[in-house]
Amino acid sequence: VATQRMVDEHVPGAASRFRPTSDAVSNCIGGETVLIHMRTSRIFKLNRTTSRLWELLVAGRDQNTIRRTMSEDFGVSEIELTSELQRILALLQQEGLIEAHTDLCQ
Amino acid sequence: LRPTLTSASSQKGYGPMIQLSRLGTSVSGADKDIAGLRGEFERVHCVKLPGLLEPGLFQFIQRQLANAKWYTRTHDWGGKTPPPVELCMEQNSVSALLHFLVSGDKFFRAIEQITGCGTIGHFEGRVYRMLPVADHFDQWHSDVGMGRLIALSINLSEQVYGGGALQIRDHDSLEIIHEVQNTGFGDGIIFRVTPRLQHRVSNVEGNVEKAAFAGWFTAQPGSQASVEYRLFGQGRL
Repeated sequence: VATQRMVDEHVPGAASRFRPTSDAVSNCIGGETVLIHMRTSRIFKLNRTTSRLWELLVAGRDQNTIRRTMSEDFGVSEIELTSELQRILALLQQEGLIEAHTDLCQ
Repeated sequence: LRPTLTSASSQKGYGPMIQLSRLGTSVSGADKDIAGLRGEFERVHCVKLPGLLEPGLFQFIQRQLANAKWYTRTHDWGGKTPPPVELCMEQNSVSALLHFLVSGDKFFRAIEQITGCGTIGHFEGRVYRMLPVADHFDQWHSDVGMGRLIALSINLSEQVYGGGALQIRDHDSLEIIHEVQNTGFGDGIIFRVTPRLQHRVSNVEGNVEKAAFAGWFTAQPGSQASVEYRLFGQGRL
């Protein structure tokens, strides 16, 4: 419990969700997840880890659920995953592929 | 055999079993639904995929088509009969997007499952318009060659057009086996490419033109590079 609290506290806004922007188009082609930003025409091929992250974002999972799921999937501790997830999410956000999404119902 | 005629609306009750969206392909049908499509395909060599393009995506593509450049394309026809003529869209980011959408693994596997065509590795297509004028027409042909397995046409027309039906006939008897109008917005049809069959699109009638994204699934291995090539340097959407 203490470790989980530490992980949650370590991630600013960890309970918030990100979702693909309306400019993002994705597909799995030849076994690889490919993202395209329709206005910049920039293409991003995702590695296995980021593919899984994208899959969970598309499914509407929040950051905590994503971290826990990926921790189980890849056998990496949540603490180890935290900074890497933050880095990738920041990159995707910077490229206009995802945006923060607030659940008003909660 | 009496030709079967399928209209856009007659299959709407099935809903979009297969749908291409911004975030990939969704296949919502149960095994028995896919089996039903496969049975229909075996029977008439053609199947309609209602709502193949997600409505928002269809509208987005529609808006982009308004700014596209078009050229008159006269097909290479060997000189025996007048060659088919259509307006063809110059390659741009919209054609790149359409290729990207139909080139997903999940969509390829769904088409393989419905048609039993073997492994699909690639899709090659174009966006065309057929106007309701005398010199825009198609001729009977088979499309056989270049590893083509199955043909796909997605309706991109702005309004419901008249005529413009896909007709399929037996190569030897010349009997029309199947006829289908694909006038539902974003609806798709897939049909068999084989030397045993020929097909054509009948003349468009009235005052509404037909627009479609059409091409072939081929056996060649998928080429990620070709997808990238289409997208890089093609301008912005």
